[in-house]
Amino acid sequence: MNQAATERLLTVRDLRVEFPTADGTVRAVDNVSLDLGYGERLGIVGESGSGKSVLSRTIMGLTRSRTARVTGEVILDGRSVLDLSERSRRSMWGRDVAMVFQDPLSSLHPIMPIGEQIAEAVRRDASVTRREAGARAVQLLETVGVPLAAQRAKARAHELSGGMRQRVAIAMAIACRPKLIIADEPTTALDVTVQARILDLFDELCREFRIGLVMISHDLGVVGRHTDRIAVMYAGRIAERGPVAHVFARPAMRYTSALMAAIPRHDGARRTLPRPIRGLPPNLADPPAGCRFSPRCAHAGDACHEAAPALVEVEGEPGHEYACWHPGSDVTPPGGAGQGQGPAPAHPTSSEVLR
Amino acid sequence: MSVAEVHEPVGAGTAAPVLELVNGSVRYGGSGTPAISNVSLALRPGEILGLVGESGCGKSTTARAMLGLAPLTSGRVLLHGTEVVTNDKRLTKDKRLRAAVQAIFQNPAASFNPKRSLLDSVAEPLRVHGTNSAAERRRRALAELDRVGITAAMASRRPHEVSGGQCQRAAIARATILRPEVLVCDEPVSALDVSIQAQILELLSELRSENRLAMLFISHDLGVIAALCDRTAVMYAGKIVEQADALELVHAPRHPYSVILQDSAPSLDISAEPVTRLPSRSSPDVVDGRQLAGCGFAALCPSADDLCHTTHPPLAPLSQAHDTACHHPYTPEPAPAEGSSRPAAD
Repeated sequence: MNQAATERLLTVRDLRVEFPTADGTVRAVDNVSLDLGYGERLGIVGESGSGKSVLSRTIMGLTRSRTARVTGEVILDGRSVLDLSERSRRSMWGRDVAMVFQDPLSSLHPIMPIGEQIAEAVRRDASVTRREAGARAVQLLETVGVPLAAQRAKARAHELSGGMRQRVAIAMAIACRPKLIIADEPTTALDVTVQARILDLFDELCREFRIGLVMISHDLGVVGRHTDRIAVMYAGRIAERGPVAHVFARPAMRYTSALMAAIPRHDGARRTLPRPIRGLPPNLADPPAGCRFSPRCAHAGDACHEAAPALVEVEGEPGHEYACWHPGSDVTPPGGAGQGQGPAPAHPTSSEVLR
Repeated sequence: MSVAEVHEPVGAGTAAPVLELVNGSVRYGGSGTPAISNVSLALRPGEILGLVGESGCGKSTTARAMLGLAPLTSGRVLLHGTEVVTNDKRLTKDKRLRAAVQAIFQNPAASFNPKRSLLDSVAEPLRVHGTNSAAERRRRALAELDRVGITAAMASRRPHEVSGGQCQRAAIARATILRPEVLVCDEPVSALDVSIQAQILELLSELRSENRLAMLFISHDLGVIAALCDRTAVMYAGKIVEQADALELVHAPRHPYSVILQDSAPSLDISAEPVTRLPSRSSPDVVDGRQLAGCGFAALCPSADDLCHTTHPPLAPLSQAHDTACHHPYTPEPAPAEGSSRPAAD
């Protein structure tokens, strides 16, 4: 967890990513700071346009200086990613950090057998012979749970189901034993039964090889059981973050609980429609003043429209921080028997604390 | 007679079905394995029937069959008891029938003409169906768009100039402007963010109560199904394997596939240990159930025995209004008496 500062795999400090566009400058990531330890799993949750994918690509060193203005710091395993040369950035990919995307078909070669593709990834380590790499590819397919691996290694991507393709993509990602895997919506295109298997696989890999995981999702339910900490993003900023159990049990930033209430429950005792969040996410070329969620927030007051709230810690919950002038929760904690209103916030409101 | 016909529909009294698919089978391109076989579903006024299952199980083919868009190799589609999809009288050829059964799809932007405004596209069905005055078409299209929450200013935009949620609202307006009796919804919210998804679900729920629309609602998301639908049908390998009241299916599923599906769905309740009522035996995406001689789920089913591998179980009522196609339906262990908060199944 975060107390072991020396054990940090990834540190992101005051990261800002801006894209100049015809409509003005879009600040896709605005002052984001994050930490991740070895073997730790972080979930980043947010809607489309919240900046979660730009954030993850910037951590990978994939945001190009030609199109984006990046300020701040990204330290991965002791090295500053943003200052690396093109060449050292390339050598970092695969060995230090690897990425798994939503649609494996678009990241796999259409006609090269999958075993060869994985072997190619293995051979980024130059000391491995072609034959060794082939054997290792089959081993990797077994590790990620592909049945009949030796036979499947000869198959092409389109001959596999979506779940199997995603396993192949994961096998390629772990081929060079990276310290960090960034998974961008890795199960969104999969059926729930397959999704459950892939999420379990990530759990095993993180535990067994001490791989750090950044899992990006729009679905709080997906990250809930399969990450240690989560960060909720809204319009380029971190709205709330902390240990997953704390954030789920006592969401403080109003957007977090609104997001929870908007998720349709499959396990409710009654048939209830999820509660929509009114309006649309803001246009980042012209974001609203103050808290960026304020135009959609049922609890917004004058302060919310004027000044952006800073992240403050929830009392008694180290590492659980939120950015909200009127914190509290609108959701009944899941599993609770009671209906009706959620509990009052268990901590003083930040407006009391900060004013 | 299909099994569904004899059922007491939930929440819709004993109203006669508007649209029915009876023992429908579809085989594409003369291939050996049918996409769907012997599927019977009945849609009643004001009732939303959910259809859930994994990709490739035949959900969309079922929807297309009910819309008269997929070629039935056997079976019938009935509108108010009258056969409407036959060789000489296809639903797609008869304007009146087409007005009665409308559809919305997953990607609304792809179903609009990119060069026309939303208003023009929404007014188009009126033109096809004989409203000759352009002013009248415009007035009614604007009113319909307003009903789904699209302002006049936004109505003049083209599909790529609005968000996915707004585009889906316009698609709903286009589908409802002819006052259909049936709306077929094929994954209408899957591509939308959760906050927007909830807005669309609310809108569909309102339309159902205002217009007594019957809906077939296809989704792979059990949460969406449980929130919106009155009844749920579970599909696996081209067949309906279970059909019941939506809440009953959530809390007392009987088909092992339904049980595993429920157990796999992500939950916001992370304080409790995850419930695993049945272990699934193998990775769910390595077997094509349609190729099996017996039950399509047998290769993955923890309860399967020899009978399951040789004989397909028929869809039959296990209890009132609850059909299951299984030789060994799941029965929950007697719950240990420790004040569990799980709701009891009736």
